[in-house]
Amino acid sequence: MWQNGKCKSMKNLIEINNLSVHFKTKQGEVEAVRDVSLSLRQGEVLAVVGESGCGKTVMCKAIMKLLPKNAWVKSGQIIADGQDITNLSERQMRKLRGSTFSMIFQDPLTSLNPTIPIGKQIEEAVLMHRNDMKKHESKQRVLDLMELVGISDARLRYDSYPHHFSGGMRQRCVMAIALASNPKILIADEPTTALDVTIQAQILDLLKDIQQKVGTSTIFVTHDLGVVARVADRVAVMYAGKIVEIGTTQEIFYDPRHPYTWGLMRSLPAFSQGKEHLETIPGFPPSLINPPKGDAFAPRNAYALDVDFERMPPMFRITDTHYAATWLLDERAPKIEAPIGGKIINEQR
Amino acid sequence: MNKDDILVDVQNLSHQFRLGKKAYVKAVHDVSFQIKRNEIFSLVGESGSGKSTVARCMMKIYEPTNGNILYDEMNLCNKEEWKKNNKRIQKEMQIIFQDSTSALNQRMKIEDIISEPLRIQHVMKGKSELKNYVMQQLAYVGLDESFLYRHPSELSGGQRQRVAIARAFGMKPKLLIADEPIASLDVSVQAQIVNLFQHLQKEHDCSILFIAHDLSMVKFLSTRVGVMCRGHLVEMAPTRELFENPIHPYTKALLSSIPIPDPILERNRKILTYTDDTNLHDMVFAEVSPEHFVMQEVGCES
Repeated sequence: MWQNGKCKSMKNLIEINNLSVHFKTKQGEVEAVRDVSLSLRQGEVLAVVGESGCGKTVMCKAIMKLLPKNAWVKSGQIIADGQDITNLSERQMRKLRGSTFSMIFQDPLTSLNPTIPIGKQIEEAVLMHRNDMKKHESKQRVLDLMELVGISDARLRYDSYPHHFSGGMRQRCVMAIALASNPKILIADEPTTALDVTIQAQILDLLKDIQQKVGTSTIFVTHDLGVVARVADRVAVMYAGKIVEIGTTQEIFYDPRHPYTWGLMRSLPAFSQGKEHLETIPGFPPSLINPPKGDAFAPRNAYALDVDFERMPPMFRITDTHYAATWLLDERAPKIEAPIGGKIINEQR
Repeated sequence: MNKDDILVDVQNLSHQFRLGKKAYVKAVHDVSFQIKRNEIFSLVGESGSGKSTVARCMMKIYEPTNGNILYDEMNLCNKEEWKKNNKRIQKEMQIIFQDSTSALNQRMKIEDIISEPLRIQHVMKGKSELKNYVMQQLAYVGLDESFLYRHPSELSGGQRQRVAIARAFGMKPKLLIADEPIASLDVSVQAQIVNLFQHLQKEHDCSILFIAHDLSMVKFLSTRVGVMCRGHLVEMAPTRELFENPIHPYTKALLSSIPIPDPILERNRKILTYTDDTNLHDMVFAEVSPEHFVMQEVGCES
């Protein structure tokens, strides 16, 4: 499952073509997602990485059609499981949410209702799409789900309230709710940021485990590259509403091509161990109200060429699975040695 | 350890929260450590291990149930001594909280936020002098003058955290307590903030108590590390020694959970879990090698 060769033969569960999402605010129109195209294949984990405010969450919410009222899909197309969902009504979407795709949110505390026992909350999700279920059937299903996500003594915990659970346990409950109707696609929006490192690894392993058992495809949104290295098959790096680099996990980690990916990796302390300072990306991300016309990363990029400020770079093909949007890959561009790559990491460890 | 070197000496600190008439939670139990002058001391541990409670006890946000906190040989837990010296201590100890959204007053401008402690402690006399100083502090943390008249809600998380840092460093503290200051920030911003800490620490010659659960940052930043588990300090050592030669099983488990940004290594990484329920109350905190302390069973000292 983890080899890229195998993934190719599988069909695409989600296809996003040239998606743009805009927000209307007092200051002007915010172009939160700009011309994003990507696909999610059957049974894979696609990680979406980037700084906060780069449009990761907005993209996921656009897929789920959970955008706030002041946002709309400006252009583009979303195809989920063979069906064009771009113009579906709220009513039609309700049928798909939960059964075709479901979402895990960042904060497990706010996604659970504090006044309803855990078991009841999971049961609600189970019955949402199967209201013909008998009472003992649905309860059994809830207990199975709780077992699946690693809540021991499910029968005892069925009547517990969210405040009886720790953060990690709550996130497991949220996962059980998300998995209630066997979704084909799971969108996990920073599911481990609110958790401790020790519990984070457990939840990630659990997610991978379930993903292999149930066979859901997952879009995994995060800003933590350590998490990406653990779970992802493919990685998409987002910056200022655009995908700047996409490839298999190995390609992104051992052979990154976009200066932004270099910057992201170099700012991890693991790369600066023993040095005076941590490497940083200077400056701040640009405002997405009237974004710059060229490469949005150019002002923060030490390797920027003149053309970066003028023209938007297209996606250059490196291998069949690996694409990056930087003019450095153009054949006319000067050859630049990547400041990091697989070898350096291995030497340091 | 030379006595003059020690800035803060926490002795047998305990704190318990009252839940009901007879129910207590022992959040911190018998914790002792020292912070030297001009060092960055880190406390690590999972959530609920009592790190923040220690920090809040030191700031006297919570009144410790038991134990002493000696700051520059003044006992903060002694009421008379506290009354005599609290002005000075409040000036010299500053804290930065994890959640910068709730740590900054939403209704105040950045200028007022940074100048408030300065006005309260009468550090500056004239208004123009105060304003210049505030601008200087903003420049230190990498923000320009345009931020002076903005409100916290107009700033991003990283910028808000910079304002909180400017407010704390503006008082020229001797001891800065940073309670998970980077946990809610992006990776690239985390690196900027950590660099800022390092820079300001050198500039101001202050000590920092750095509380975190991101061990890779701790490894990079701090000189000594203390590991907390269920309210106890289980291991304390210089950073290098701790990372190379961890002794307590909980420390080992914690170290094994550091994510590695490398797919092959990361997937082969074995995560140790610490499920030991031994009663930590009966153990002693013993020195195994110079400056390396571990919680051990009685009679186990080598």
